[in-house]
Formats: sequence, structure tokens, C-alpha cells
Amino acid sequence: MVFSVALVSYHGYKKLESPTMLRLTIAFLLLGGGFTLSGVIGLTNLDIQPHSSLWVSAVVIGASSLEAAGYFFLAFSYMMNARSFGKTTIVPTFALIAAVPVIALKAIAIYFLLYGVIETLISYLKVKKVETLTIAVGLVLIVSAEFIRWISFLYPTEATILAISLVVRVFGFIILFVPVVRFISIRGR
Amino acid sequence: MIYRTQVKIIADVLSATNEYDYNNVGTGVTTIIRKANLSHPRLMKILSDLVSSGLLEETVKGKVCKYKLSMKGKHFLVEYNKFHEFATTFGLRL
Repeated sequence: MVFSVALVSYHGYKKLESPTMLRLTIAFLLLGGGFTLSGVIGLTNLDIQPHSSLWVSAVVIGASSLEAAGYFFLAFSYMMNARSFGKTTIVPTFALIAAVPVIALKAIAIYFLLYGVIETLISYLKVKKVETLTIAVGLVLIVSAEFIRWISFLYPTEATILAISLVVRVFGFIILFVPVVRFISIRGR
Repeated sequence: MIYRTQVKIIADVLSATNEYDYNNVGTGVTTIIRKANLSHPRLMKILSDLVSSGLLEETVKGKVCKYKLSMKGKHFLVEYNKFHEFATTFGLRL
């Protein structure tokens, strides 16, 4: 699903050589890669794959890095968009010192995601398109999923919290799929 | 103030050329300047790039130089409109 957004964006980049489309392609490719790795971790937790704590840690850090980089490119697209409107943007600055790299990466990802949510809502106020609001809702759901996952760090034995986070996240990404569906319907006309 | 991206400027030039080509003889530079809102030196550079990339066709009759949208240019405009919609949904601009 995430890769399909990347694919459509890549087509846009190939046809129009638009930097916006290139940034979207990179963002969704990285996010797709991150989620694929997260899926691998999920399988490992279910003991389907051979369990190795070092291996799992490496994959968790890898997945988090890819996700953070993906959200960075998404936020970067909004930053460039805001710059073209002649707005001074609040360039994300980091004041995060965390001992655990995964938590730091997740915090950075949320930071970029929140920026994306705000910029999408600002865009919605300008263009008044329902689809743009839908994307904002999708991003809000992904942010919420990350927050729920943080709560699961406090209660590591409660698997339900993690499951809720996963469901919310999947719903968020299904909503991000809306532009692809719309694009395909326009193309079909 | 909204700054246009290079892709948007190209799309504006192509749509102005297409829109004001009434008798399929091409559109003059003055019309494109007015409709695409560009200065003469900048437009001439863009027009030369678009002609060399095959998006526009140049026709010269005496001293009059006119520009027509090629098939490749028409295809570009169609794709631009589709991806513009896609980017707007994300709250972004091409």
C-alpha cells in the first residue's frame, strides 16, 4: 500500500521531473522499507523466524531509522511547499537526548509527522479539498498509533496496547492510500 | 506571495500556448508573456528549452515566430493535471 504511493509518485517524477514527486517517492519508499522490517520483527516475536536478540535489535533500529528518514522526507516536502508560499518555516530542530536510539528515532519520527499534520491542515484551509483533510486524518492516526506504542513501552506485558497501535496505524495508511485510488480513477477516465 | 516552481511555470507556458492557439497556427510570444506572467528574456529561455525538448513546435513566418504544442507537450499537460491533483491531495504543490 505504502509502496503504491511511492510508485505513483515515481511515475510523476519520471513524467514531470518534479522535485515534490521525488521527495514523496523517497519518503514512501523509506516508510515502506521501515514497515517491511517492522513486519519481519513481528514475525520474529511470534517465533516464526529464529530468535536472536542482537539480530532483532539491529532490525528494530534499522526499521526505526527508515521510518524516521521517511517521515523526514515527508516533512521536508511540506517545508519546501511552505517555502514556496514565502512563509518562514519552523525548521525542525532537535533537542532530544535519549539513551535508547530506537526511542530517539521514534521521537524524531513523531516530530516530523506532527509537522506534516500541521502543514496538511494548513493546506486544507487553503484548498478546501476533502481529500486533503482525509490525508491529515490519516497522518493523525499514524501519530496516534506512535503515541499508543509509547504507552506500550510503559506496559510491556499488555499486548492489547500494541495490537491497538498496529490497527490504528494500518487504518492511517489505508487512508493515505486514498490519493492513489483517486489517481487511478482519474487515469481510467 | 506564492512562488511558482519550475514545473508549474512550464505547465503555465504550455497551457497558455495551447489555450490561445485558435486556428492551429500557433501562439505568439506576447500572448504567452501575458498569460504565463513571465518576462521576455525568461520566457525566451524557457521557450528555447521547451522546443529543444520537443514539448513545443516553433513556426517562423517572415519575422513572426509562433509556438504550437506538440503531441509530447499535450501529453505532458495531461500528466501534469493528473499529478497536480495527486500532489494537492497530500497538501503539496508540484
